[in-house]
This record gives sequence, structure tokens and C-alpha cells, in this order.
Amino acid sequence: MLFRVRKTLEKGKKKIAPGSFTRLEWLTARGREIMISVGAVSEVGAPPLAVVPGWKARSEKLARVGIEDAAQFIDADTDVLCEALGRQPRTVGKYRNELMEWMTVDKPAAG
Amino acid sequence: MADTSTARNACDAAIWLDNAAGTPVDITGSSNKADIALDYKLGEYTVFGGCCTYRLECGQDATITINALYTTAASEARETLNLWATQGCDKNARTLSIYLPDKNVGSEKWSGEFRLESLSIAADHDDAGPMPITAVLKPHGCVSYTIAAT
Repeated sequence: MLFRVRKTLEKGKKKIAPGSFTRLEWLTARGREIMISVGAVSEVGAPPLAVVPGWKARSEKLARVGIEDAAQFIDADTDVLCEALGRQPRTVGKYRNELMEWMTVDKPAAG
Repeated sequence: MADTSTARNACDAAIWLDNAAGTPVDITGSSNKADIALDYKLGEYTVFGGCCTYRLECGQDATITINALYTTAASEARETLNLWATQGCDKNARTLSIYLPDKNVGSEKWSGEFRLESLSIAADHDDAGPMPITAVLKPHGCVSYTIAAT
């Protein structure tokens, strides 16, 4: 499950900025529920891959293995993605970063 | 609109303050009040022919007041604050963190580097309760507001 950060999170000495993504994998299901209930994160309503610019061909290949939206892609097992796309893990990692960047909300300008 | 069901009191709040070695000390159990006051510097102006007042904003500040109890154990609020207050003329800024409403996942964390502005200890013969200690802290930099994710 992928979550969009809505308030600055503090995990040890690391701060996670609003607009970015996290899986909150270090928390229990109850912990994730609490984070949603206090408005710190929200579940990602991810766009279909077919509407992401430049992803039409990839979306068709990925649909065959049941991966249809951006959150599913980001969360999917790398081996599954490599096989579906016929690409190396490094390339799949680049695709993943590209999608995360595309979905991340920029920090608002000051003022 | 429905009445809220999420109001919380401060009974489980947590306060951590660095000691002289820079190690966070949990002073929750020897303090019982923390006031967080955020201030914003506003400058106002009016113009000829106008009846309204306008304001510009530039800069912010804060004051945190902690009420502690006079206790005798080491590494509690009294000792931590007293040692800070009597450290000499070049006191370091120290990290203060206040967790609301408690120190759990999803709680608010107000934190920053603070300098001690004043410390007062009220010894009153007529008061049977523990002697109150009041510390006023001012930030050295920005106060951060985050959500505890661990």
C-alpha cells in the first residue's frame, strides 16, 4: 500500500516532506490507520498507467500481469515488473523513480 | 456539523529536554504544564483616504513555558533545568521536544533548539504542594511541527 504524505513526518532523525510517498512499512496496520485518521497521510488514488505521458505501450504490457495503475507499479515486485516489461532491474528502478517524481506534488512557493 | 469525538487532554503529553551532554532527558514525569505560544511579527499601515488597516507579516518567534515540580532525583526536570541555568554565561541552545497528545505514532511533535530565558523557583512556606519551578524558553531558530511516525 502506498501513501501520500500530507504533513511533515518524523521517523527518527529523518523528515518526510508533504507531497512525497511512503509505504509506512515500519508501522503496524493499526499504526497506519492512526496516521490516516490524524490526516498525516492518505491512501494514494493513483492514475491509470495508460494516462501517464509516455507509458501507453508499457501500460499494455503491465495490464497483462494485473498492474494497471501507478501505485500498483510502484508497489509491485521488481522481478514481476522486469519480466512483464522485458527490462533489467535498473531500468525498472528508473521507471519507478520517474513515476514517483511524476506523481509527487511540488512544495508550494513561499508567499 | 456533528460534535467532535476526537478531543484529547494533555494527561499523556511528553516533554523531552537535552541535558548538558546533549542527551534527551524525559522530564514528563516531573513537570505538569507546557505552554506553547507562537508569535508572528506584523507591521500595520493605513493609507490616505482609506478606513481599513492592512498588515504585512515578517518573521516569527515562540515562547515555551514549562512548569516543573521541585523533586530531588537526578535527571528530572529540576536538576536538568537548574544545571542549565547555572551553566555560566555561554549556555548552549538545547533541543526541546513536546509530544501532543501523547508520544505515539500519529502524535504532534513540537521541537526546536531553545535557549533558557528565565527560571524561577517559588519556595512558599504556606504552600503544602511541591515547590513549583517555571522555565521560559525561547527558540534559537525555527520551531518544527511534525507528526511522529515511529
